[in-house]
Amino acid sequence: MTNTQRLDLNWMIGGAQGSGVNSTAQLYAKLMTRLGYHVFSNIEYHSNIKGKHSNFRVRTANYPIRSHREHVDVLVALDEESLFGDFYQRYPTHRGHAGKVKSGGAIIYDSNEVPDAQDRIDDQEIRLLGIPFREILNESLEEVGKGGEGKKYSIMGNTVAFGASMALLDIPEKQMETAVREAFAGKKSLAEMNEVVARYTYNYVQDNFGDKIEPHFPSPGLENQILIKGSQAVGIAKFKAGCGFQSYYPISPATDESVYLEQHQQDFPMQIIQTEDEVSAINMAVSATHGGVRSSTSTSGPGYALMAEGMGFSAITEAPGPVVCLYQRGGPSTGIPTRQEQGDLRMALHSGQGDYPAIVLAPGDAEEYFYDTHKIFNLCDRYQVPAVLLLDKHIGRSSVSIQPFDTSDLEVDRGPRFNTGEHEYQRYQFDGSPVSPRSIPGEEGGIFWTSSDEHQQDGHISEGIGNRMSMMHKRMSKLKLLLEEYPEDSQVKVFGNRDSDVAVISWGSNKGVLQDLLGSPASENQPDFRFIHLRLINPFPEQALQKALDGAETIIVLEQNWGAHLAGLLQEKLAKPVDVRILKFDGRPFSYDEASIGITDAIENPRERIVLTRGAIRDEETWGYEEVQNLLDERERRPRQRTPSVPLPPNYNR
Amino acid sequence: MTKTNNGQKKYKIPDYKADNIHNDWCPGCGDYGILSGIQMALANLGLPPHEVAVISGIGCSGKTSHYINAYGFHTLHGRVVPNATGMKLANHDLTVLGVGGDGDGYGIGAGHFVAGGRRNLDFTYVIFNNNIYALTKGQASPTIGKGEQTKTMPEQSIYNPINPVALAISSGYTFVAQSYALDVKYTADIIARAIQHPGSAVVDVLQTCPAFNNLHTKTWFEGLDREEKQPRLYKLEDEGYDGTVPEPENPDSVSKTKAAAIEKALASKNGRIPVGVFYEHRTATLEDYLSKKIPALASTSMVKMDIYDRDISPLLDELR
Ligand SMILES: Cc1ncc(C[n+]2csc(CCOP(=O)(O)OP(=O)(O)O)c2C)c(N)n1
Ligand code: SF4
Repeated sequence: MTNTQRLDLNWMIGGAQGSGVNSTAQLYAKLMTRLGYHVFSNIEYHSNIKGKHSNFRVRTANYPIRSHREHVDVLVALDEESLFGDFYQRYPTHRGHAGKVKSGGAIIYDSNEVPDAQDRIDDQEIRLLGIPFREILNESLEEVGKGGEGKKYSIMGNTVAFGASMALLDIPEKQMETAVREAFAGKKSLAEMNEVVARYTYNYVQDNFGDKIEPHFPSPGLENQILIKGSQAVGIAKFKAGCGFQSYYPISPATDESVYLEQHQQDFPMQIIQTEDEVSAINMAVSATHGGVRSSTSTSGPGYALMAEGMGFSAITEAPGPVVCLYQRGGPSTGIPTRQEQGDLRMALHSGQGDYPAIVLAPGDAEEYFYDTHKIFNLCDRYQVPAVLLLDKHIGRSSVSIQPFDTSDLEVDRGPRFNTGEHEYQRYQFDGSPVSPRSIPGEEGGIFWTSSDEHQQDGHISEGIGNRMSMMHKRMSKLKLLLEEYPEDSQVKVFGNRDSDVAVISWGSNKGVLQDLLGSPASENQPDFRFIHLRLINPFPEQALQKALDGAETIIVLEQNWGAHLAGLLQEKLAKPVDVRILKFDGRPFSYDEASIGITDAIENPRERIVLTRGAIRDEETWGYEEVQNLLDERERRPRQRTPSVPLPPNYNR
Repeated sequence: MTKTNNGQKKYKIPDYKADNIHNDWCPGCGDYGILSGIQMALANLGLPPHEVAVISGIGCSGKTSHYINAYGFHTLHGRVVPNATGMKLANHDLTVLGVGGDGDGYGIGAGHFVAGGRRNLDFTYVIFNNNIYALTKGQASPTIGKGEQTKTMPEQSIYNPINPVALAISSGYTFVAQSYALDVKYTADIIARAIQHPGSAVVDVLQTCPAFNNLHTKTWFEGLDREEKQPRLYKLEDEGYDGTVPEPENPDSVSKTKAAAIEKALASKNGRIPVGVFYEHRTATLEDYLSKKIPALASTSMVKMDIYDRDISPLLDELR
């Protein structure tokens, strides 16, 4: 990796949760963003607060990227487990990341923790930077009069890791110092200590591992970038859209967004209410929208399951919203709470009893998270229906570098409103349009009644046949109207070779990996296909999709679930059969390499189902057991190693 | 924030009656008394109907919102409290009234009921307590006594009943009262006091359901079934009881008053049932708290805020 032309760098940090993995990775990603690289980073963590393994990948390149790679170029291991796996568990869950480091790549690790790392890494081409974290801390802290207190400040091991990474990658020392100082802005003494530690480590690496340092690789010099997570993009859009009320019940990975909103609620007035449960969250939000305030709630699968009744309530009372942000994670039930899955498409479409209209959008990246969130508030007001944004952990928690959002064309549209001059106001008046003007409680002359029961034009209950027919028609035709008014190029988007015989259809967060496959220099043997990204899920954009599929012979659907939910929906809506389903349901997003393998194979050898995990196509029925067995065998072969630095209770396994 | 009409237009009881709607409660139902009590209270306070929102649950009692001339939301079973909360937080200037059954509020909605007390939102929750799930034809509700069996229950109730007053007080409601549906004037006075109370107020109204509850009938409440022919109900104030917290900012004073109120609620004096105001504590509301956190809320309600042309550039700058 001494090649200065190298344009794609995959850095990963691993360690016990609570040991600073997140903050170091964020610091690294931020600095790379400022240096003008394209940055894409994603995190994997256990449903645990302290102790279990987490890892954070930050990929930087000088061409656009929106996915992660299987291999790692630079691995920063804060503990032994990050290198070699969790062999102390009854059922090991992973075998560490040392094996993912590419030949020519580098590993930065704590030589106090893993003194025998050299013997355990097979690839001799990997550059090993064994750094005695404790001694470095002890010595560097001399400068601030805290020499020898390395143990007390062991949490700053992550700053050692950061300083070492910066030296290894030959990032100018000044830039590193500024980044550290800013990261601790407001905490002066901490900032100083961390800066000293980073600088000391930087010099240590230069002095001891000079031959291993990789020349600074050229940055495209992108200016004005921001580093943003999907959940922040949604939050900012909510502020921009004038959302004034957000209710939520804590759940991973949705909570991030509410926490972000809460931090800024005083500047963009928004009441953020933590509720007693999700049933309450949705009901509060429905009533707040009836009360005239744009409202939303954010949740994940188990929470949305509880919101079903409230969605129907919003729909039958023709509330203008709320916007429900559904951050998908692995199910069923509590499933794998901190991992990725796209398993809630069908739940979003069919969550209530009876037929009811609800808009479902599935944005695919941070920009779309922003623009679709802004738009969906207008749609709720315009059509007086609830709406779901199908988001997920992958984009919600991944940080990417992007240009700041362009807000010049964004408008706030509150939809048809009652005009005080009208007499005999009826909230659900039939007047040609399925959407009736609404009044807002507090307005004189606008009194209306509404009910979760079927009701007539004045909002009072009625079970009459004619009324029922008309009301069903009124509500259900809203989505037809929406489809007519919705720009076709926002319904589905086509990327790549529009004329290719092969169409890959996907939704939501797979956008990045498929775009990367089509557009990046990394894909020399890039398969030829058109990628159709379905962004509007309900109402289903049948026409736009038919157009996008025109001339396509092989239809491949790629998604992150077991049941091929979108493929099923397409079979229901389109005349064309789906030829291949490329699936992944191991709780991790598709890597670039997996998508590439899957699609190449699907084109060459089309078949019903292709299941990917750990960078390869696998036999879904046996592979999981085999993998666990292999890990257990490997543990047998190796003598018991050092005890983990963060002790776990006996037989601790979740 | 005491609610009264600022003197312009005078409103009378008929102004709070919804036109053109047929009331489909059974003849003789206690609900009529509560409905009249609410309308009388609104008229006494002179609140403009368009500044009132009535949020109801599901059940016979849930239909109440349709019968009142005010913004009316007949919501989901058990969800009165969250819906009332959303409405009030959208617009702090509205008078928000929750109405619903005992099954609705203390059964399916029990979690929300408790949370509603903790928040101390400024709203009033009138609970129609007929010991019965009436609209589903007479099953036991959480307030029916263990061993009691109405004519529509196939078996005696095997659960202990909840005590609404004690539950409300321990949940944190800052105004807790009980009244009797057939004493309309008294119910109206209590509801008016509850509306004027800044904070979460609960009025549990003991109600007859002639269709299903043949135990707690008018005769029973009036004690005509007893030898001494004395009403079962008595008024707290007639016994010199006052549930007002004397020193609202003093935690000791609060807990002492609470304990006394709960004791009143639980004490059984020869089967006599107290009505009146058990507990009243004037303290900061959820809205007060939110207005402190969000300065703009101190001068106006969320619904009145300008949401056009918001500048998000400071948020983007933070991410650079
Ligand atoms: C989620 C849900 N579960 C059950 C029902 C059926 N249901 C309708 S009314 C009712 C009972 C209402 O009892 P209560 O709240 O005491 O009111 P009452 O009819 O006595 O006034 C029930 C269980 C429903 N509508 N929704
Ligand atoms: S069933 Fe009971 S509560 Fe319902 S209307 Fe009839 S009498 Fe009233």
